[in-house]
Amino acid sequence: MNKFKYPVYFLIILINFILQTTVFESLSIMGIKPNTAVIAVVSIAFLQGELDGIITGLFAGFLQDSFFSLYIGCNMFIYACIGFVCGYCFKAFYKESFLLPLVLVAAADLWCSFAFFVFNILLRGYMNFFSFLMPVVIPELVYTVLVSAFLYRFIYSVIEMINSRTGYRRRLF
Amino acid sequence: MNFFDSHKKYFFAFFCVLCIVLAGVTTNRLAPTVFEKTFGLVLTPVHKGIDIAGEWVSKRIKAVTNINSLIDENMRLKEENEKLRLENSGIELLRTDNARLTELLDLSEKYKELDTTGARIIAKDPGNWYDVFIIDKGANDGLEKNMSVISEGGLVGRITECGFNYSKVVSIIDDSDAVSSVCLRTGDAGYVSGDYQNRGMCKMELIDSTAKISEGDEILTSPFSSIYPEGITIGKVLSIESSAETSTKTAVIEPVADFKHLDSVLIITSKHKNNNILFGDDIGETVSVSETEAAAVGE
Repeated sequence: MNKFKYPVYFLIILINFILQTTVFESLSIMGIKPNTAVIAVVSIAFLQGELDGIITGLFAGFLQDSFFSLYIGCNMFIYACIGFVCGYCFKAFYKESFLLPLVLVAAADLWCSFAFFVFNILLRGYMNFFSFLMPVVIPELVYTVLVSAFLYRFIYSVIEMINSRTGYRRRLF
Repeated sequence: MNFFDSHKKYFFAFFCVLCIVLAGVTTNRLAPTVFEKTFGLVLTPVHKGIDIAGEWVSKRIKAVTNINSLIDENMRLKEENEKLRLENSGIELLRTDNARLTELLDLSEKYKELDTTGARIIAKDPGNWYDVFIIDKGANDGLEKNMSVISEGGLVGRITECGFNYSKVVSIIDDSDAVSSVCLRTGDAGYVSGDYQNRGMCKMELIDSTAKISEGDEILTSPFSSIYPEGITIGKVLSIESSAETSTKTAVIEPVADFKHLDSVLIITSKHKNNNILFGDDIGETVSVSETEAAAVGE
């Protein structure tokens, strides 16, 4: 097993978090930012399996929770779920597929928005999720999917580099 | 590692339970936990460095692209400076007069000058739901929980957590917080919180149905607020809706502070003591009121 990979995941998530909270602010269009943390967790889970997905998701969620949430645990749970579910696709699909990661990212981002709504806003008395669809959820989803088309390739090459170091190689056929 | 690989589902379930337990433990925490403080301690310098570097780059770009408008602006500002200097000499007279008269009337307690300290915003919430940000000063610089944060003369929010070298600020356009506020012209009271339907706006709720509040009115923080000093401008009324069910009015408010281009803020560090607390704690009050309101609607 590759011990070298966990520091790399943490580094990816940490760098993403720092960029997301500082530089990516200027990427926002009409106040909507892409959720790059979802892309990172989905990519790592999809390329490396459930276990790595859960651990990466927990770390990404913890970082967001500890800085910006009212309590710790909400984002951790959301991202761990994403890691777990996307990890299931690890065995079943080709990693070189271009479209599938985008679909996974879209689903994960939708889940992220929905779960966040349930845990933070529904419990405070707003019932109507659909009133948030057009102003927040859909623009974020579209933007995130667009960004993931590039970011997935990048994370793919990083993961490929780790795997080639240990001699384990994924074969296409 | 094989053990974990073969028990992934239990592993996942364990972490889910852990998250729920953590959420329960940390919901009403008074101060950030040790983990958060440590992360903050390490990450704040990094955040700050990147923020400063980003600003440097954008300044260089702006300097090149805007050089013509800068010359014009400089001329305009010089003119304005002259004018202000003239006015200032008059104000100095008024100030000494004022000091003498307030001493006579014993009013010095009421209009105390507020001590402020400046801080940079170094990180903003990556999500699109909340408007929380991190500033580069913390408990080491004498900041405390519940201090008010202002910018450009308008209320921005309050500090909810203080680390060693960073603080977390919840802004007034965030829905999770409410400010006890009052209309300057008519004196109608209400609660201002963020508005999800119009991003970047606030809404003032629970205004009395007979209130004569109208569009364009200025909204200030209320003297009854136990967190915010009184008389800080929040914003202007854009539109008003009245609800028949709850017999209250709701006003949409455009905040004075420019939340889109916010990069530095002022923190009011002087303690304001309020002896005549009528409405109690801002947040506690809104929660209890909205609960009773919800119950009334439910019936």
